Amino acid sequence: MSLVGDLDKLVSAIISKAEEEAKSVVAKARERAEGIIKSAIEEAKAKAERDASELVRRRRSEALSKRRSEVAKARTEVLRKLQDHKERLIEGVVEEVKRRVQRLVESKEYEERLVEMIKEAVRVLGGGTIEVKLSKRDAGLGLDLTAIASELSRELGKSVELKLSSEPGGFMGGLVARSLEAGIEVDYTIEGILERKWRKLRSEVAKLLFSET
Amino acid sequence: MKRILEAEREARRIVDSAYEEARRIEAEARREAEERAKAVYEEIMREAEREAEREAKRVEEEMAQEIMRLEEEVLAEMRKFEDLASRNLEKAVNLLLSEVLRP
Repeated sequence: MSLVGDLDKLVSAIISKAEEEAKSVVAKARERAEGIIKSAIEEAKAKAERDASELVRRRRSEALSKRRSEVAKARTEVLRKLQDHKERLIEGVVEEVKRRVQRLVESKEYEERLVEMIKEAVRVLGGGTIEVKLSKRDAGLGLDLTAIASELSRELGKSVELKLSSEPGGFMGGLVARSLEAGIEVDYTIEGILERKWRKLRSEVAKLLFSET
Repeated sequence: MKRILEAEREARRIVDSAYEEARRIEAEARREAEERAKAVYEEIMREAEREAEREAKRVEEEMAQEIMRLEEEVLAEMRKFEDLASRNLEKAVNLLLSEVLRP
């Protein structure tokens, strides 16, 4: 073997080794590159899945919260509507009673009841001089207040004088009686009685009105 | 000797060039990794947005149905009360009427 031949081999070996090393360096770099990409994608995927899950959970929670609030609002609203409807139906009873009373005050039966109401008012006031205020229509009935007073005077054992008020009452029927001595007044107008009875009987009327039996 | 020195220089150049290439590959990989990670993240989030929208819509539809059911129930209740009131009106009126002329 010549010296030149050995030198060629040596040069070739040096270059080959360098090329091998270069290949290895590049191959390792490619391997790391793949790792970098794979790892970045996996991390991004894992983070996205966490964020996505949180996003869906949050939106669902917001939607459910809105649903609860809207349904509760709607429930309150429909219950209010139902209550208003029931109130109107209940108030309808009073309106019907007023219509019927309007017819009733034109009957003979009412006239008898009116006399009884005057007597009751005098008893409550304890006799004496009493001014009786009637509606314009009732004032025209020509009730014998003197006879009523005499009867009550006997019953109560004291003097009773009934004076018809010169001013007619602006009510449907019944009366307002005022003791001139005591200054006490009783309201036996149809409207007054109805109002008081209505306060007392309202729940009973409602119960009866919506009874299923 | 000169040839050997030249060969060694060439070898160093080859290796240096390989390291240079490796750095370029890794830099390129980091850029690509960033882009692909961003794309993967955005795609998953877009799908999540769509799913969230679907979910919100489903809940909203259920809500509308529930409210409609409530309204229907209350309408039925109102009709029921109307029927009962109509059936019992006479009794209720008579109860009150019987009291009106009795102070």
